[in-house]
Amino acid sequence: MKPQSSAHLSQEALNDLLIGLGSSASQAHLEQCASCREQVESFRCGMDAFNSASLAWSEAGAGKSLPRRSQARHAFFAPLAWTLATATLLLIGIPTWRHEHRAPQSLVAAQRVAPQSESSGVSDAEIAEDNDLLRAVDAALRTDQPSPLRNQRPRESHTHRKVRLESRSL
Amino acid sequence: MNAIATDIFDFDAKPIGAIESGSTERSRPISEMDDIDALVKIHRARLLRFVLYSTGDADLAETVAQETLLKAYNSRASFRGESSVKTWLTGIAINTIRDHLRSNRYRFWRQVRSTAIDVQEMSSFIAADGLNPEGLLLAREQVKHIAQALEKLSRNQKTVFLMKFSEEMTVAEISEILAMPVKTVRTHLHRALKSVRSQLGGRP
Ligand SMILES: [Zn+2]
Repeated sequence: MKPQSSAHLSQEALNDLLIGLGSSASQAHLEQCASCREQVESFRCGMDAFNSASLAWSEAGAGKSLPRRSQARHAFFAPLAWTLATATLLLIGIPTWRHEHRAPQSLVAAQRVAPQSESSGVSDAEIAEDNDLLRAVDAALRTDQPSPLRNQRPRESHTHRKVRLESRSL
Repeated sequence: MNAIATDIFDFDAKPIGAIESGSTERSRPISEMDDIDALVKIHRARLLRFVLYSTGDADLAETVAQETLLKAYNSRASFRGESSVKTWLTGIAINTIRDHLRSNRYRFWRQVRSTAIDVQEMSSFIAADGLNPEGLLLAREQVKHIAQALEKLSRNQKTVFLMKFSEEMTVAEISEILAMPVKTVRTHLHRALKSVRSQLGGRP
């Protein structure tokens, strides 16, 4: 943390100056030291460039791809809908290649989470509908259906199953 | 678990600048708060950027930006003008992000899909105004370096860094909004700065 030359501000002192918590001694040093000022300026200059580029980029994106309020739910949840639809279809096939009946832990965990607040901008009915679908998927995955291939093929891991879901849903 | 390891979005952000419940005081002047179109025009891109960078999720950013602006507009009567509109919106955005990250759907959806920020594309948005070709190239490199450094930060570090250096909030405001001690905010900022400044080629 200490600078090589003790004459200059330490990284900690420079960082405190940048975040607006610099001491008056640091401020005084900065005013008379071109080297330390250059450190501060270099960061500020970089951040100015980052802020203007990221904002322009955000604005450009906002112009072409941002949905109106009425389309927000559709835009946000379309990928989920597709995923759930795909996952549901896959359930037909899963019992034939699934050799352990542990449900995906993250999905189980998700079911335990408190209900979503009103802030998502969708109705309770819509949320309930989606949650029912999630539960249906979860329940189907939990169902213990002995496979005819049990004990004949190596166990297929949970991770592997998830990868298959992912690769088909994208 | 120490305070630094706790996720920012596990906290309820404090609505800075809002009137305490029960009060009907409304002393602020007419502003962009009273015009939804102005509110969107002035603040949406900034909100998008903030959510996108703090969560790394473009779709979530669109949803949160939209909801934040709508919530702010609907509760504009409670905006007392103690903070800037920008700071107030950031507080609402943080709560909105938190709600989404806690939701069932988001957790499930997150498992199967992720979006990455295209640093190359983003850096190409640097304005060429007043810059010679070398200056433009240098600015693009700086943008890339900062974006890459941000990628390596924890979500807390990244969020606090953006609140400070992109949203231009004070450490005190960040501390208040996140209900996080000033000392912790400072620690996050120091770690983030160390990474960003070293990417920018700062003095070691
Ligand atoms: Zn110096």
